[in-house]
Amino acid sequence: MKSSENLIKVEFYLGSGGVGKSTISALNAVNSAINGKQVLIATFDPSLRLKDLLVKENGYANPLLKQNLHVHILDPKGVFEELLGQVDADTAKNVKSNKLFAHLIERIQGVQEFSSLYFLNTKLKSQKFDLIIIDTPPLQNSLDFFSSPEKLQDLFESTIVKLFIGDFNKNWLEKIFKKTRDIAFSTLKKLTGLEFFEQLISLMKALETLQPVILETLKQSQQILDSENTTYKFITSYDTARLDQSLMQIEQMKVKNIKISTLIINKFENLEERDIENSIELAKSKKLDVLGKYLVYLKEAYSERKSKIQNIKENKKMSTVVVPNFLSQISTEEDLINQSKVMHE
Amino acid sequence: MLKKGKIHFFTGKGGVGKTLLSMNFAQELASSGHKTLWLEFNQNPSENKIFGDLSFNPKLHSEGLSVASWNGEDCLQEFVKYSVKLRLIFETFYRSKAINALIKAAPALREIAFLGYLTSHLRDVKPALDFDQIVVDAPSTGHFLSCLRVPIALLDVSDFGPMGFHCRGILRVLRDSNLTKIYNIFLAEPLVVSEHEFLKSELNNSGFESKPWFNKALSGNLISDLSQFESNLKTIQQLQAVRRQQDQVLKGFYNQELIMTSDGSYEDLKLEIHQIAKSLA
Repeated sequence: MKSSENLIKVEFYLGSGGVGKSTISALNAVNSAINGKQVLIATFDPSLRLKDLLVKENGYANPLLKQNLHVHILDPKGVFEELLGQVDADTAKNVKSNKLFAHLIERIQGVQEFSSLYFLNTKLKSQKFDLIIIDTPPLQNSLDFFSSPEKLQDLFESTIVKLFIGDFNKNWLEKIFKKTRDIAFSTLKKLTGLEFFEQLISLMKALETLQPVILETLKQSQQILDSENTTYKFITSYDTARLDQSLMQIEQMKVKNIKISTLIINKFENLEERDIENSIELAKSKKLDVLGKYLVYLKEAYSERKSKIQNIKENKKMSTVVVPNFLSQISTEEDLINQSKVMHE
Repeated sequence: MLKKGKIHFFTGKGGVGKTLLSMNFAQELASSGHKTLWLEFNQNPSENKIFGDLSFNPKLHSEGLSVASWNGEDCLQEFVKYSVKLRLIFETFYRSKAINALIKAAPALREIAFLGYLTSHLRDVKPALDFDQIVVDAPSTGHFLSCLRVPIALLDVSDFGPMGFHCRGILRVLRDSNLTKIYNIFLAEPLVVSEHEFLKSELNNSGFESKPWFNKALSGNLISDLSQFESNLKTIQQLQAVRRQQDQVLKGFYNQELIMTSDGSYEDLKLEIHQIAKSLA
């Protein structure tokens, strides 16, 4: 079931850590695969359990999943090693032997985000899928996902990289610049030690060669991010602090023209107020004070959350989906399929 | 003279309650007479208003408690400002476009500056912090792990010189369980528990000790109330289900020293943390 490139749908799943982003995006991928779509899901470092469920060496038991579901665990270092295949062999060897690259490439700001965009770019070209789902890397604020590639881009601005290696002797302005740079560098060298400093400068120089391919990827990604076939879904969990935080982030994204189409409220507990009240009465009649007090606390917490959700539904122009708090854990492929259906009811 | 004191890290999967627990913990330490600093690392300071507007420089929040929001760039600047005695050189350093680009790009510089400043008073390295107790609202699992591993990785890059000296000192403090406490917080949810276990073993592999902290538990008294009857009410049934799940989870922690805080009102939580903080300061 192949589609032409402009029909490939892309879904980004955003949200703070711990809200169930990986699980929800996986369930959505499973659901689309069961419905006959060719689905590719790219996820960062999912919890071990989810990884065990999604990454099957011998394929899935369910024939539809076997045929339609494709999972990729994103690995930033792998992406950079792939990029190094595009530069000359000497440079590639230099970068790979750099100790900072070996240990710490993932700690360069924007590298994780870049990796998912790079992956998306290459897979869109392959045209094998109907739907590509991107489970975004864990960030404090989802908005950072959109600004991190810019940070990376800043780094590779040719002017900045030239600052490190240029030999500035042309005119007086350049000479002043060189003097400033040399003082700054010798200060840094003193603070960090020669060994670290040299590794750092050699990494920066080597990475410069990747600049064209990185900028090209970022340019293409911008088109994908703006495309009508790309949607953004925001996941929050059902507690007061997270709901507030999520709404704030959604507003911030709106300012940047990133429209969230769906708000997914995970770990939703549907308790009737009447039922909680009856429980409070029961606890009272049995003289169970601790339970009674806890139920009063529960009742207040629920009514607060409920009114928040009501507010969201009335004021925000996005659809909301609630996902029940599955007490039963997802531990088999069958659970995965069943829960993905529950989510879509 | 080397100052005494402790650093307390609150970490775990996102959403387990790190921020609220760490804030209450810090308030308890302060009210029992410790000069305490609570700080968040690499967070967007505007997202957290409970302690008011936060900045890099610690601000006195209440008696004995100062609060701050740190990121690696600020810590690095503090270090450079102190180490470079001449103001002119310091300004030249930060005016340099190349340095600014480098600081943004350099992997590990910001993390090592953060860990360096955080442990300064315990290593007798200047600029030193002047607090007895430091409570860190730390990043969640993956980010926390990679941050703590930075000095290990850097030692491999550069064993000698200032970098080696600082990394060894930082690791000595972080690996000393009398100086550093790492609370690995979890809830009675399968995914949270498996991430907790992952973090615990990864920390262990890297030479760091951690303490399990079970948050939002149903308290013992509540459980004994619950076990006195059966009911058709959905709320009660749900609580019973939570209880069963909790029992299941607790089996895995049999024989382990476990810090516990229960679900419930804010006042109850404060009482529990009061007891916990007393034993951990």
